[in-house]
Amino acid sequence: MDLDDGGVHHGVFHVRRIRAGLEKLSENVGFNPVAVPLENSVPVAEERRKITPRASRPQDPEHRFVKPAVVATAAPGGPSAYPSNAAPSSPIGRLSVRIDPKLESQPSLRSNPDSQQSLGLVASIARPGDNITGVAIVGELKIIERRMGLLAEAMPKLSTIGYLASRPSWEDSRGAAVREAAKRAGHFVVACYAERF
Amino acid sequence: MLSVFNEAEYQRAFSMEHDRTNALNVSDEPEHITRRATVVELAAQDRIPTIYLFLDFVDLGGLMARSIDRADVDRRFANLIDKILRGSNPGDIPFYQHTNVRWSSISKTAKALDPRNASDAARPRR
Repeated sequence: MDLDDGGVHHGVFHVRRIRAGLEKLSENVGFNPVAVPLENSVPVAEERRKITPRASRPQDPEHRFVKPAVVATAAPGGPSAYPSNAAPSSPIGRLSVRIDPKLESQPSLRSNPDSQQSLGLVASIARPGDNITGVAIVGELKIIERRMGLLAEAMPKLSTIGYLASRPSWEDSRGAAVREAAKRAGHFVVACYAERF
Repeated sequence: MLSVFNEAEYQRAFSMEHDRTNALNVSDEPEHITRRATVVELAAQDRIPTIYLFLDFVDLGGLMARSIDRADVDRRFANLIDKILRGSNPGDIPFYQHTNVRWSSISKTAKALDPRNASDAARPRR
């Protein structure tokens, strides 16, 4: 079984970060185990924890492990579109996702557009099905819109905003959120594609 | 669709946007982080106010970011792995919807760019 073939082998436990970047993409995906340790080639986030008067410990107790997961309500069921919507397997390791128009037309998906569900990864984020679960860190449309608002706030003379993205991002709900936010604020937004196809 | 983010494409994108835009919003795609130094450098060269998706860009001198808390995401991943190793079926575990957002900006870059006065006319032409 290959890491990129989109299937799940029932005898093997896989941990992977979909669409998360590694410094040397081509060296991290393949048929064989990685031969070279990656400690020095994987970007590691710098520690930013500080002990504040409010939280006298390195981690804010508000975000401790025992905090129950916050999930958006969504109707369970529906077909799992993960294998058919993921990009074809690639030795380069980039997984680009397009939204399936059929999935977007489903009422249960329209009610929750800013989720992994609407990106076609799982049938329902409340009950993903198959052998898939995870953390939804992309497609959070409110953050995208808020970024547009912050730019406009910082630049009163702003007229045209570039959106540095891949073509799928510009064409799916994320790009739509950007265009809508710009329209509301009276700005123009143009796509700046940072990829080759 | 197969697509690749690389340095040459970023340079091409910045050269194209230079005459068209007066601010830049970097998309929510995590792939950008692999070329964060390039993106921050190109934005600085163009003197274009840019908002990023992760605080890592601000650490390198980027103007501002509205970012998720990546450390918290990693803790959630560890939590999920723990549940699975203890016998839970992954398909029965809801996706955790990350809502913890961090905001940051860097004063030196903001001062150099002076985004309040930034406009098309204020940016030097290449």
